[in-house]
Amino acid sequence: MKNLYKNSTFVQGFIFFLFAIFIIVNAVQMRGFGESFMSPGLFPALFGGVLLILSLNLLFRSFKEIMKNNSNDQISFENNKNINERSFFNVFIVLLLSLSYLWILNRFGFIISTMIYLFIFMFYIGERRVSYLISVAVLTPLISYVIFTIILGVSLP
Amino acid sequence: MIIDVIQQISPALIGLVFLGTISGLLVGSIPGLSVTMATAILVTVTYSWSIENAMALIMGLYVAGVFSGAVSAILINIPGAPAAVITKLDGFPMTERGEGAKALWIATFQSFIGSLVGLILLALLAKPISNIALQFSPLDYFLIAVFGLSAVGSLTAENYTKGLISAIIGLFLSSIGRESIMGTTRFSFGITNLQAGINLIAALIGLFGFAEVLTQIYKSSYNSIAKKTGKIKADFKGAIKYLPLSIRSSIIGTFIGALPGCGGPVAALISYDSAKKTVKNPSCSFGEGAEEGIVASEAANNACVGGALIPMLTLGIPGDAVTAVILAAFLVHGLNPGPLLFSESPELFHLILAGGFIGSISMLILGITIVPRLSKIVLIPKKVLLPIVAVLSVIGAYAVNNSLFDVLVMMIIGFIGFLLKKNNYPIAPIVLALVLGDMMDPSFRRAFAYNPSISELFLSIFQRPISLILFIMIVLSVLSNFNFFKNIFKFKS
Repeated sequence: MKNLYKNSTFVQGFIFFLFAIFIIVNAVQMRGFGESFMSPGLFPALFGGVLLILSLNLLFRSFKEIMKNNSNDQISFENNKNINERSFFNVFIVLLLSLSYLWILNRFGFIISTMIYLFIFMFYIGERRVSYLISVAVLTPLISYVIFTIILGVSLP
Repeated sequence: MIIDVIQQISPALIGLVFLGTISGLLVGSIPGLSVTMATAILVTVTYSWSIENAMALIMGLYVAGVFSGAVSAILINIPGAPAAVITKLDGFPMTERGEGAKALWIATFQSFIGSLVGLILLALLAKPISNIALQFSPLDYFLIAVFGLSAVGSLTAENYTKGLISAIIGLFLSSIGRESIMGTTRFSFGITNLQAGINLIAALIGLFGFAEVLTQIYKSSYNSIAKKTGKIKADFKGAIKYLPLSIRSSIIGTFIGALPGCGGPVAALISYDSAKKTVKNPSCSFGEGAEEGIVASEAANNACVGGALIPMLTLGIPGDAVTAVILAAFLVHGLNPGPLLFSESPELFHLILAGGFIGSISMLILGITIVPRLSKIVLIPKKVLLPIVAVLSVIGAYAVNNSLFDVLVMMIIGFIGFLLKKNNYPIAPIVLALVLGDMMDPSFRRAFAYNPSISELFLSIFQRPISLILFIMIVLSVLSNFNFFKNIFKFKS
């Protein structure tokens, strides 16, 4: 049982199973479901049903994997744990940085916000050459502004 | 017909088409800037022009814009347009192994062939193809979409189940918002901005642009995409050997393009699937940098240019989003596309053909001279490239509707895309299902208007030749992904 939640196929299958149930439950509550084939819930119910079958396939496959390779799964998971945590942390930081960039876009405008974002992002992932940091952070938003706003007529935040 | 087309060629036409081609190349290669948007801007810009000059500019933009989506797909793994999603499957792996310039050349030449074939078929077969397209019922549209999704198995080197799950995620995303038949809002969770649904371009940029950035961060992979780009060389001899595959893919693309609502992504997918199943000794495995993969997808999606013009010019029904805007251009200039266009304004039809042919040649010239130079971008270290790609993703998502909400959606979908990629779920089926879902849902429900019960609907498949052929293709497509079916054919051979 303990090995179940450590098996990624089982976790994926379980998540998609719940997702399929969510879709089907919402679909059957849409107006006209069961009364008319024009109901907006019909198509979601159809692909929700297919997803349910596919998720059961994944769950079944996970049980087979666990029966076959019980101890090996656990060992490989433990070895990779440290690498996965550090990598996920980096992804989380970049995501947080990007959401912050989105937040300041409206407040400081495109050029200033992008300069700040690019500088911090490049610094975080290891770029230490000051000339690169400053030139890319300054030139990229300026060139983008000229190309998109002036040449192409596309407005920026 | 040929003489009529040649008579339309003038220095002014050539100049305008060339200008349109340059614009199309620039717009199409930047993710987030769509050819549809650029065409719409041109319609307003050319409002006071003559229809002939306006169409010359638009045709150049259309032909080049469809091709140039492959440029960013090949170089940085972000398709410039949905139709380039299939191209990136083999284009980007070629870039990673140092053959980016070669991949661009193949895409350029095959797009040229595809455009030519599509336009030739437009000239010769506009009427018969439009008659066949008119025979398609809502059920047939649904079946062709199901066939497109069933072919998703071609896109998943590893696992058909995961490919189908990706496709269903795409169908779910396409069903968010107000549906087209009864106007009911689905899965919006009370968020007003979601009532309009998920923007396709924002989802595309999120899944391929932002998700790729997060994936590279996860892998801590900060070297350049490739150490070299390969020789910048127009290898006509090498390209000619793929001519039979190009022509076959172009015919598929033209026909799919003639079906209103299907367009480049479906054509590229079906053509790619067909190539994967029929090409005996590809240069490399499909999905790992096979040149034949780029040939099939690029020839098909550019042939859609000619194909999509068929129903627009003959019936007044646009074949895709761009031809819908072109239709608006006709109406703005007081013309009515449809069966009478040929008799009332035949010279305009010939001008459109001339513009298309010159646009194709211009695209080839620019593809040989300028585009390969862009391949140098892959030599930039990722510590610099990834943040720039993130910024371009934000710009692209914002540019569609001037909405920061679309940027937020892009980031969220990008994160979901990263999680899926990490667990070996293919991303391309999500985008394809997003495109097809808009067609599948109303077609499915409208099919029931003709056949009020499930049994009648199923029986009707066997009563119409088109439906039956599509159904057989779906069954074969699904079965071909299972080992027992492959083993049957191995045993027989």
